[in-house]
Amino acid sequence: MKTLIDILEKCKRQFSRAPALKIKPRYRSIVWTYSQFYNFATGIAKLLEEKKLKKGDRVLLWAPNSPYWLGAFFGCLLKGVITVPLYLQNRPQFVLEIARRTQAKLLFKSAALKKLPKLNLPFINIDYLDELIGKEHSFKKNPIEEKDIVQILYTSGTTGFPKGVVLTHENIVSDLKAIFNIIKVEKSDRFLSILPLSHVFEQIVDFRALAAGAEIVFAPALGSSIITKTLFENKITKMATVPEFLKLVMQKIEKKAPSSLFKIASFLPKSLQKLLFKKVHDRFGGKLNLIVSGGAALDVEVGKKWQALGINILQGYGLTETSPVVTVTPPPFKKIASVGKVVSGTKVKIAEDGEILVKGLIVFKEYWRDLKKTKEAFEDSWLKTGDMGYFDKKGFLYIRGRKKFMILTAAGQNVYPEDIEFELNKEREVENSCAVGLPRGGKIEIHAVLLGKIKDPEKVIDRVNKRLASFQQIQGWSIWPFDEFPLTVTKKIKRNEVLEYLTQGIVPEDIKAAKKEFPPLIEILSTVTEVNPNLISGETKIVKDLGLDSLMRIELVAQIEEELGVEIDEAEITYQTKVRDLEKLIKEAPRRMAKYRISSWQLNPLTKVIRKVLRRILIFPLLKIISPIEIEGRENLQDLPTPVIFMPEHTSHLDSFAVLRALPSRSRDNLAMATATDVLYEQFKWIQPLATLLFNTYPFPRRGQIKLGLVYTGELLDKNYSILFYPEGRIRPTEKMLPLKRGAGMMAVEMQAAVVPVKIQGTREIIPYGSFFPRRRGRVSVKFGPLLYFKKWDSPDKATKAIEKAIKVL
Amino acid sequence: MDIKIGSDILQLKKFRTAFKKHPQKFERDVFCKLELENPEITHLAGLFAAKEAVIKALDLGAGKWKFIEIQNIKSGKPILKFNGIPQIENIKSYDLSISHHGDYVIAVVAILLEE
Repeated sequence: MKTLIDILEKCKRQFSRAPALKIKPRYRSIVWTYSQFYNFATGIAKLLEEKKLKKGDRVLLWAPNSPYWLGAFFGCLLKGVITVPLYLQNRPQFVLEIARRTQAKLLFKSAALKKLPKLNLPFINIDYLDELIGKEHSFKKNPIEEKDIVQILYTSGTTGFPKGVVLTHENIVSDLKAIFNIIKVEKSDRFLSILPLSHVFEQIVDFRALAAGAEIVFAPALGSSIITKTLFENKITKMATVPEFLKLVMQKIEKKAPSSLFKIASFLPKSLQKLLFKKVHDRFGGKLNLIVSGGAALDVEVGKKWQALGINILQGYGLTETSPVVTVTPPPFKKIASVGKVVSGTKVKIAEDGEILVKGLIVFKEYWRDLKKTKEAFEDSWLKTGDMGYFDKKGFLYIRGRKKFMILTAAGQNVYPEDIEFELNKEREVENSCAVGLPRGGKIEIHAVLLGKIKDPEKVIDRVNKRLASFQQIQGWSIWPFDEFPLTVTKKIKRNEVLEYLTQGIVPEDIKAAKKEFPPLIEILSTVTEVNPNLISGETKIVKDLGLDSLMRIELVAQIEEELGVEIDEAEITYQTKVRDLEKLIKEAPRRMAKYRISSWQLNPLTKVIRKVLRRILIFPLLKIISPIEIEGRENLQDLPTPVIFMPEHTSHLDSFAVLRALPSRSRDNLAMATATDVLYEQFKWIQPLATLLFNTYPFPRRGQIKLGLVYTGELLDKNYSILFYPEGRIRPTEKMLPLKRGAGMMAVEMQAAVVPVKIQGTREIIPYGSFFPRRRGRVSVKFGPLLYFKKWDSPDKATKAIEKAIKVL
Repeated sequence: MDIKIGSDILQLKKFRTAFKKHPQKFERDVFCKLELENPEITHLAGLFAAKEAVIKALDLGAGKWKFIEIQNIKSGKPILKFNGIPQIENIKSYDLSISHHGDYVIAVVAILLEE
């Protein structure tokens, strides 16, 4: 293994049919096998060739983590094109500057990114390129060497414009080899990828997963509930994250678990720990066994608690400039205060002043076109990390803090802000803190900046000072006036920006740009009523205090439905309703909504057999007597890509029987039928179990909670069931076809499954409108039309029209 | 004699914005099919105000839009139809008036109930 391309090619050979990358953006899961992943990358390479990009040219990559991201990245590697990954939160002005500095020729982006700076660059939406996975694409291969550049990473700089860290294949592959035996990965492992892939930390973990043929799952968004859901649904085994995340999740766990449990657990073997915290494990899917923590220092206490759960915490230390891993805690991952031992192949020494110096193949090549800064980064061919640290006798590295933030006291002693913050953050009221050396009256003062609702800061400081050494005493303090400190992507405090604010009153850019975030309901209430969100609280009365009139009320329920996917009855908002009550209504709505769901028994293999038999011995013979069926267009069902959505017109209760009979058995056995919730699950609920047994019906609400119907449809399609969906929404009362429901087009576009239009004739004569029983015998004809495919970006309305037309012309 | 009166005033601009933002919601939950045959915003705003006036007069509570249907007779005079509200079977007589001026629509209704 010399280049990252070797990994890609090895994967394609060894694991071709194994799942590699997965994401569920909305209703359907997208899963790429290793060979599809490879195909996508070759498709990107070909695209680059068509765009006349040469080896060494630069391409910007601006998208959230996804299969497409890795596909585009490896596609660039195949062509020797250099990737410049960007962060989603990068500001337009910044991107513009990077494009200029790297002379980028192309932008790969996510379709969701709509507001682009004026880049004057051609761009391609990578998430619209799904078709590339279909086959391997041929392109002219450029020889790729170890020393070739993989990417330029612009790390969030501390002063001035960030530097572009240039990493080569050799850098990354050397680091990957070094962690190979420390992070053991099985083919059966499932990784969750949530840190930005534009950071080399997530990259190296994902590459490690790929090299073992494991599966990488991406979360569609980064809210904690979505992450937990993704962990749970995919039974994730391993993930990388930052300490801040571990801290936040642990706080939630601690609210439910008594602290004594953690104490007891720390003495138990792993298997018992898992048993003790079974509920926690179950919420995460029950398989999580390793978390790699990096990017910032992990609080020892937090780390120990995670370990008490029976989950291994691997800590590492590194920089973007070192691709990134320099040290890791080796198994059994016990020494959590240390960042571990130096990885093989790399040398680390501590300079006289305590700075950590690194040498080895993992050390970056240069800062992009910046000789001066590149030179400054080294001292006699050793990389100056800017971090201060020391080794213990057994060779474990400990980090003291950043060199440039070290506070040199008047007495000539070195104080590390980290040590002070460690004590400050132990205080209950302190959410976060930042210690700096503040110049004051010609001296440097040890100054603590506190974040949080703190009643008596003096007392807090007094308590903390008692725990600190005499030379570390806090001499001054202030309360941070904003909601959050300026943070790097890995959630480290940007100390210099805090200091700049204290000394010059410069408000950090991040804080200026960050709009205070309110809970979604408050945001909605504020837009609808035009009341400042700061003035809305749980106790606010919606009608009285916010002046909600009847027009606003409609807007409010419409907005709640659109944004939160929950249907609220207008009548539920009375003169007395408080925001808190509405919150409760919304929270309880999913339970009300999901009153009807797909039963687990209906997809059971045994049920499938019974269903098949019942159809054979009961339904089809009966059908033969009542109405012989003529089938047309069966050629359209040959080589059917599974699964598909059948959309027949609806003229009689006999339709479902007729379509079922007309389908080839393979499609028939794997079919689920969308049925109106209000009819089958309410009005005729006594027959529902039988209908579900025979037809594999599932609830599809006709109004309001359509989203729920889409969720179920997506789940069934993901399980390879084709769907039968009547796009008219009900049996038509007259001969005239009803206009199709908008949901038909939405379904076709959202589900990304082919639609088969179906025409049915003759059923109406046998079982007329309003009737359940056959009036006479007669011939029925079922005609299948050619498959309709829709693109992700097609409008649902157009799709609806196209389906309507396709049924009509049959 | 039990007379109930109700009135409502509505700014066209606000109605238009709300309608354009959530047309489906209005088409589904506020207006009846026949009412939508004339899709002009000024017309619909008038109906909306009238419905609100009736809701106020009879104290029907929120969200009862589709229980009240408004049609115009030849002269343009609006008439009321009630779709299945039990508590208003005792309506003896009513009169409804809708008026537009500039950016505003106003509706007034008087309803006479049997004792």
